[in-house]
Amino acid sequence: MQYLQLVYRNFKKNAVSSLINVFSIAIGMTAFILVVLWIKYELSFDKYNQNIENIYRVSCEGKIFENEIKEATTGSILSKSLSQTFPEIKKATAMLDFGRAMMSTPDNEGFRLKAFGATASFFEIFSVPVLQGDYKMLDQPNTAFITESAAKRIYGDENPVGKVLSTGMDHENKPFTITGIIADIPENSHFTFEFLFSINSISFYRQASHDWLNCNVYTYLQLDNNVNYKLFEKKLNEYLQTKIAPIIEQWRNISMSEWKSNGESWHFVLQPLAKIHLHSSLKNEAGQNGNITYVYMASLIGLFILIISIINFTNLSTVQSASRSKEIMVRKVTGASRKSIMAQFLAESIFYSLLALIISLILVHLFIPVFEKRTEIKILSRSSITPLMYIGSILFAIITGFIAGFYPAFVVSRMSPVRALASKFTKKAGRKIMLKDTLLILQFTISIMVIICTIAVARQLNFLQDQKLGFNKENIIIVRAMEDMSRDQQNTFKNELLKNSKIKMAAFSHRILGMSFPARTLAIPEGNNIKLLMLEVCPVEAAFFNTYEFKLAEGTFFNDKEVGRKNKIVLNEQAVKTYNISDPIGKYLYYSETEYYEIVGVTKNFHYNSKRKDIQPAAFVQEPDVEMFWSPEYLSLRVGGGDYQRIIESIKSTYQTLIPGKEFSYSFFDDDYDALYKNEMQTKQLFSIFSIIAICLSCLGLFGIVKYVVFTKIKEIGVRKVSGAKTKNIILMFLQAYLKWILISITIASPVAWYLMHKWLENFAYKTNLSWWIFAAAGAAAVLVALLTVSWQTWRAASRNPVESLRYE
Amino acid sequence: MIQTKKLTKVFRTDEVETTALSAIDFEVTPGEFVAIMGPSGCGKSTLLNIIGLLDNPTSGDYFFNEVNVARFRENRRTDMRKGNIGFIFQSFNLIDELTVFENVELPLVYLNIRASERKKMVEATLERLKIGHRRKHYPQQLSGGQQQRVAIARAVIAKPKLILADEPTGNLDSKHGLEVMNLLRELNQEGTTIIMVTHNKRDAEFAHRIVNLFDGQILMEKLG
Repeated sequence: MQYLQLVYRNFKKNAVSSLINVFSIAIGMTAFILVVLWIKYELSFDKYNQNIENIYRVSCEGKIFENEIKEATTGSILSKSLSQTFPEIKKATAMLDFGRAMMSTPDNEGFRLKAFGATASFFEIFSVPVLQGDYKMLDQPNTAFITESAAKRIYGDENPVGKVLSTGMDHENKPFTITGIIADIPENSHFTFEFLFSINSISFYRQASHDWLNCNVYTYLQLDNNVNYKLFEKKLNEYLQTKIAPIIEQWRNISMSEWKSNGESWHFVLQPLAKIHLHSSLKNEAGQNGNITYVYMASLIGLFILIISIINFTNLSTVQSASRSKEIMVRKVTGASRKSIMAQFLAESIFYSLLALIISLILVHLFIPVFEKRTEIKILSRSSITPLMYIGSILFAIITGFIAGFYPAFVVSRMSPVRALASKFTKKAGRKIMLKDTLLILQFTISIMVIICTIAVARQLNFLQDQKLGFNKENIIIVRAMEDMSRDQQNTFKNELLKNSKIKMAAFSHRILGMSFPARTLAIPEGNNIKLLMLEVCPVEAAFFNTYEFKLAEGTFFNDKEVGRKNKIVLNEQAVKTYNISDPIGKYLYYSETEYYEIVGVTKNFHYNSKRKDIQPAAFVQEPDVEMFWSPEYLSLRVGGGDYQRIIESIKSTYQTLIPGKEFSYSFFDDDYDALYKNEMQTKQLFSIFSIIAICLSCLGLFGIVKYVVFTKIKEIGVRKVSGAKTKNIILMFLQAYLKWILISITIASPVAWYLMHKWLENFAYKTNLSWWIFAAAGAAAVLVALLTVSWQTWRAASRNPVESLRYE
Repeated sequence: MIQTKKLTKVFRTDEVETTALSAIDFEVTPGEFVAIMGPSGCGKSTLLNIIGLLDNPTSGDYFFNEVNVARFRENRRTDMRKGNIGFIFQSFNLIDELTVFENVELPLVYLNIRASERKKMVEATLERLKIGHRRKHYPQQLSGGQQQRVAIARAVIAKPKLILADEPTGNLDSKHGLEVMNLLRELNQEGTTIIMVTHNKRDAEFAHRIVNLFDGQILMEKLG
């Protein structure tokens, strides 16, 4: 109690420096708590599943022709046949991501629902509670479950069970009867949906019997408790090889061993459910996954900031204790033991640290909305702050206070009473400054590292954005869900829109750039042989090329007038290069013995996928009977700029006169495309926020240290001035000393930051180089900040009358 | 050389206003050796600091070599001080981190004298003050008498016309005190003007003139 009183009085006496002290550590704690919350959220993914330990997703990996394949999806046959073959499998389900499907009621009212298909065993594997209905019903075709909140949105208080919703599937408007309600899928789930229909309703799933080499559905397995999944994976792959051998022989006309000696392969990978969100980034993931690298980076930054702020706290406390040496000595002379003085100082720093915790908890609550908005990182799933976390953070604050307060307490309590009363602080100060220098160097090293990383991340992002895309992503509006219109309606729609002078061009396509294209195997005759190749193919209309302003390397684009006469294909340069096709123009690519595409052109390479990845061999195709093979799902409109809102309104009204009651859905293409870099944007934001904090804290720390050093050197400053030193001489003297330390920090920080960023950049197929100026700029920033801080502090001390300095003796 | 007119210094804190010097008229001619005496808190040191251009008066005029420096800013005072005034303090005021040599060298550094030249000057001065053998030591390794000799060496190294001494023997025993006083007399005999603040009657006897200060006013002057 007496300690508390003393702590309070001291706080009042040194209000300003105490507040600086408390805020310094509060900022560090805030950053740390935010990072911990975010990491907690990232680690919580899929944890709502009781069986999480035994659930695995089957993904596939391999090489087909020249294409590297890493797919989150597998063939539908897996879930159907594997559990019968392997007793290790307790349950298996197939899931199909049907996207945001347009659903309509019998009254022709339309809205979009995120839809997934699955079998009833989905409910046995995943812990998604069924609130109403029997989960087994999901195995019946044309049934569906709806989530609680979606049901409420659509039906209000009415009971949705028994209602019918229909959507376009298998080229028809397929009705689904809602047989039950399920709880909402938690936000921290690697997949999410509002509408779960029976996957048996979809024809390709029902019919699938040999699709071992396909990628179309997600396969989840629940294994028995005691199964070693790595061993089981091996067993599974041995079995798989026996299944694909006949397929390869039939398809490629070669034996398995020949196929393998080509360097081609195909095998399954079991991914533990707990690892999907942070460790998996395959093609066709069910949602935007996280990235463990970012978790590591964030933890590192959080820890860095905490370390900086603890160092600050230690330094500032030592500074204060130095000015309190007289008080301590008087205490000692009047009988205080070393232990009681240490206890007093520790009590003080723990008090500060608890105060800082309260401030930082307030800051955390204030900052979460800002943080979430800036970084688009959700950190507060509703249950994040539990009473346990409060207890944890109190403990954390006590420990922080203890660590930060230990050094000053130790130093201060060691002072001998006689020495301090005689005020001979200086000799010992020499050694203390050594430790301070080390802390200062550490602090600046960390800050400089964070600055370097911030610049490097920002540069990489700009580099990605400036990279020649190979097309023009600006001024394009995408109208989605064109499959809701009949072919005639689509044409009417397009022609109506083109009457608007603001809309320059319009083109239908099956996919848009930024999405992954379906892969297709094609054959090209080569002498007497046939060479097979695999291309990622997107069916488009002729106008697509000019709408996106692609550049031709050779040949021509499609011609509208020739639709219906011939199948044509335009390759990208990568396809020509990978498969070594000489003089491609005029050659034919076969997809069956009688059906083929004529190569009419080659485009310059373009980035249709995230630039993290290499450009794949790809092609655009034009097919005569469009509806037979593909449905145009997107309409891309090149607009001439101007008032977008009015253009969109006019598109919308045209849309709604054609198909009334349906939800109009559009987007700006550049937004869609930039979303590919969401993770990188988040990293950039994260780094800029934290580097600002780190730099501010370092300055605060430097400020404290300089204040301390100036304090211990006040006599020296006086003596030098009496001996003829001018203010500028004194400032220069101090600057030289600090400059040396900062140079050391730059020397340490640069290689470490270089290594970290080098590792990070390995994630990208296209990367910027880490040029010297990044390091120079970070160093210069640190030097500048330090110069300002040091100059100001020493100027204050040096510009005083020397008499005042000497009076301290 | 030194002339003050109605020199006044008032110290203010939040609550109290203390008049340290009130309207002092004081004059020193070149070559003089003046001692200022008086009880604690009478304003001796304040007067010395103002004369030494370490501080400004609150009001009044101060002519140093016929220039009124009473309103000079710190930087101009420093320029004026450099090479013209040497200081000797009771507590020596040596820099602990510097060696004897470096301490003595300090004023020359700020006068931008070349290193080789400095070395010669410092060596000569140290020899003269009989502390040449201690040049590599740090202040704390020396006795009080030796420390004060280092401080005197520093004060005279730039050959100033004026030396100000603030109780130069205050921290020394009588033997070392006497040594210091003899040194000061020697310097004075060579033509250096000396103004010394002291409590010690015996030390004051060395001066040509003794000025008694009481409550910020000159009480009486006595020629020695």
